[in-house]
Amino acid sequence: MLKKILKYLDKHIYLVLLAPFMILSIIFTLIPIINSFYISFFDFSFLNPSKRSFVLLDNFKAVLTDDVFLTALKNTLLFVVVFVLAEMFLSLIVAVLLNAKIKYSNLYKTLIYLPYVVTPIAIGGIISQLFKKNSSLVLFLAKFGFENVTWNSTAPYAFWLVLLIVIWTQLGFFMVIYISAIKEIPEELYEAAEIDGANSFKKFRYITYPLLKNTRTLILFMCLLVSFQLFDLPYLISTIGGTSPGTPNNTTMTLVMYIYANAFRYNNMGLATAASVILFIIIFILSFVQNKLGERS
Amino acid sequence: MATGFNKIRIFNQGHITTNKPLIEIKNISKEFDGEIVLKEVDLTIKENEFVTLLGPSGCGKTTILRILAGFENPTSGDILFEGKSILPLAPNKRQVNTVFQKYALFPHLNVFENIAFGLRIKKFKEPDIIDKVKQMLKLVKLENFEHRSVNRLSGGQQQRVAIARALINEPKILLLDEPLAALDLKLRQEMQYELKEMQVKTGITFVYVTHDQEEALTMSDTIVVINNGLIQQVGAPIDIYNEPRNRFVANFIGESNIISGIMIEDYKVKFEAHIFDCVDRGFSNNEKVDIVIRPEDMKIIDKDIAPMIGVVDSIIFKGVHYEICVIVDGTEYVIHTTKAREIGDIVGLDVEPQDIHVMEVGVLGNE
Repeated sequence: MLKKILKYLDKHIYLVLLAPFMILSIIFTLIPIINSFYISFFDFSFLNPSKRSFVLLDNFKAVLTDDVFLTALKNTLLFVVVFVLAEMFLSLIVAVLLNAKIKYSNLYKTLIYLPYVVTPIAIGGIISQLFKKNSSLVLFLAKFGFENVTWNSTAPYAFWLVLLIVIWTQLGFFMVIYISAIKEIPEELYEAAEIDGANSFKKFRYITYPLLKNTRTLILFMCLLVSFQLFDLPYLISTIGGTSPGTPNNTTMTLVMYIYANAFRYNNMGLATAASVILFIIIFILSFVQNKLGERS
Repeated sequence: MATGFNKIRIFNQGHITTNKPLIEIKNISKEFDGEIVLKEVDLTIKENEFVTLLGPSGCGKTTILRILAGFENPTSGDILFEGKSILPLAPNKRQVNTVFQKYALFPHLNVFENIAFGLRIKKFKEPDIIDKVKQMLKLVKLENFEHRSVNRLSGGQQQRVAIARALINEPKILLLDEPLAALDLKLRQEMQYELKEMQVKTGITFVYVTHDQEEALTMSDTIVVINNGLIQQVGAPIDIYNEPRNRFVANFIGESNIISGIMIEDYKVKFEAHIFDCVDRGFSNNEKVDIVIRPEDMKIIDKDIAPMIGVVDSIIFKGVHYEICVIVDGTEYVIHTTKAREIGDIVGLDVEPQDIHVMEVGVLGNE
């Protein structure tokens, strides 16, 4: 019997190797997702969990007619578009430049990567100091016509400030992915192009850029996922000085902030889970498209 | 020292070369991080010649190729192309093109676009590009493959695309960096003949880098044997094979029996306590020399009339011949023969005067 089990395990060793991850995934991801779907059909409060009433799609109706949700969705979509375009362009340019044989390139890479490994709380602290009233930076910016601006709580600056900071913190991560992909391109391809008369721009145009197609697809979807799930930095920045999340007037409110606020500030779990189900569906569709594109390439 | 060495060769393997120097490598040295990889190399490459740089890994042959291509600059020395220095010129200004070891085909482009790449960079008109690419496809026997992805080609076909891509720019010199190394034996042998045929057809000078002596002997007009950054010998394949200049060349090109001996006088060399007639002269009387005898040149004869007598130590069947190892007074001789012997047999050995190749002792190269 033991022999049979060992033989089966030997043949299906991948099951043994996958088991720890699968078990954790099921407990901490799959079950909560299914539970969220379930809860989204109920009117439910943490304060009185035993008293829940089945409301079918009422929570979804309420979410989709909620101005704050629509503002959060609009903000998130605008954020997604700008963040994805900026990140894909900037990280590629920075990676190409730093991949060239320039002095101190490793130092520059470290400096650009550093914000990514710094905890968002620390970033929030730095930003609150940089943009506090009468700080050197604020006074400096005032010289360019930005007088009496409280950067984290004045529309529309707050939104763009959040966007800029998130782009800055994530840039290093995508740069590293691009650099590693560029390093995979054989040097001989560049030498062959050089012999044919290709200058640096043409080498980028005809070799680097097309050969990074798969990496671009990967980064595109990672950017989409990061931006749809954005929470910590906009939350921290918009609450500098004790203001409420999404300040001012929900202009920095993202979908995840909306879910968080409804679940843990307003104790409206039904609304929060319905919004999270909508976000899940968006991300699921994106992941599905990415997988299909990945298979094709 | 050898009388059989032809200093100027006009014909080789049916291919006509001119004596006009195309490239002159003048006293080139190259250091990488303080390590000397080329030491005062001098070499002249003639128009329409198929020159092979032959040597073991790390000997400096690829460095010479990369200096010619313009990817590396020498630490000292100069390279003249038709009498003018090309060191200040960028790779694309040198009338040189390269076929890389791993072909360096652009994986995102099809066969047509790979070959057309250089012309597109130079902004040729579309009809001209189509014409020239078709000519090249015909030359490399890949007609009807133009729309095929290069990733779906065999190694040999990828090799042909790489050659077509290089030749379409009409270089005067084609540099080939171990281009057959990734192919299997049969394909490699086929491609050797095809490469030679292409070189003859196009009349372009080929500079070919390899560590495979068979490739070098099959295709080359001239072989340049390199070791430790020094040129060991330059010559026609037959001269390099028959008249190796030193122990390294003798060992590297084909199998050899290398024996120490004494040059008694012109045309008389002594080894194994016997004085043999030979065809070499110009050495001092009683000068210590190295003697090279190829295994196929050693003859097993009746021991009663043989100048050397030995015992068969081992015998290996190699298909076409047997490789027999005979010990003569403690010295091991390898002999290729079609007639089998038994281990322990006592046999006589002899060698013809023209098959005894006498070399100076301690010749390192670049001399």
